[in-house]
Amino acid sequence: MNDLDNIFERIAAQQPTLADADALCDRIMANLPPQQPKARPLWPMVTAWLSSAAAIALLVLCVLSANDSPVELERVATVSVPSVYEPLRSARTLNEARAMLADINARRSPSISTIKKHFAR
Amino acid sequence: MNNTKIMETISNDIIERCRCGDRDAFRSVVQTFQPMVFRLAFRLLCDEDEAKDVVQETFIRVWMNIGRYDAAQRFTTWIFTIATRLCLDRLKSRHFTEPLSGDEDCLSRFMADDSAERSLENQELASIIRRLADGLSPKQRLVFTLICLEGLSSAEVEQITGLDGDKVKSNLYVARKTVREKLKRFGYE
Repeated sequence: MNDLDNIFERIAAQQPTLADADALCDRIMANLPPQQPKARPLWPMVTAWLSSAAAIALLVLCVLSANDSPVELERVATVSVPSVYEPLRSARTLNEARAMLADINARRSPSISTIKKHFAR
Repeated sequence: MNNTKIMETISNDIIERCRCGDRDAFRSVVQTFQPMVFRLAFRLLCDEDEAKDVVQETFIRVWMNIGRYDAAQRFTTWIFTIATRLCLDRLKSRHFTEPLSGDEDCLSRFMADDSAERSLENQELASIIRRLADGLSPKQRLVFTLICLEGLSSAEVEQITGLDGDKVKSNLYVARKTVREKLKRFGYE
């Protein structure tokens, strides 16, 4: 133990006096507010959160799959279209139809370089 | 080092009755732990009235939150944690705490009279601690008081303050160094 600890020990040995401890206790008791409710277990909250998250995820999946439904496809297929778009009838999903349409359009609209080559000849 | 460790205990039955809103049981909790909380608050704040306010605020919080008290933790440590946070808030809100004019004389007399066993008046004790702790940051002051004056272990201080072991060590190191340098000026090596 060094001198510093010795000083701390002497100070620590000095206890502050709490005068009117009973009065302070009475003051505390007179000012007690209502108690807070007990802490609730966490798992019901987690379960509720997970089930609502699952419900939202299910809803999102339904919306996404509805966008790509055969009903939409039928509507596309029954429209009268120029023959160049006939291959679209073979599409099974809306996304597939979109991809095919992009492909057809790309073939129908020549690129700038193709046009340049044509006029160069 | 003299340890004024947290020695007070209370039965689980009393804590359970407090949880159920039993005010008589809570009165016994206040009577048991009131001196301990006052001692800590007084040593940290060096002001009797402010220390009493902290005691009142601490027990009101204990009463309000006893339903949330986790029995895995020691009840005394939980109370100390609440009291310490209230004191720390007060220390942080003080922008400058200048030592009072008589503080230095008080410390000099105390240092010169190391054989005396007399009990100091609250005001004298406040002067001595205020002079020694002058210049410490609130956290350094907190760690210094809990370890050097309250005699708590580093592990208990970590639990009470929420500081990790390294922070407790570094705050204590700086606090002891500052106090040592201050004491040198009083000719005490």
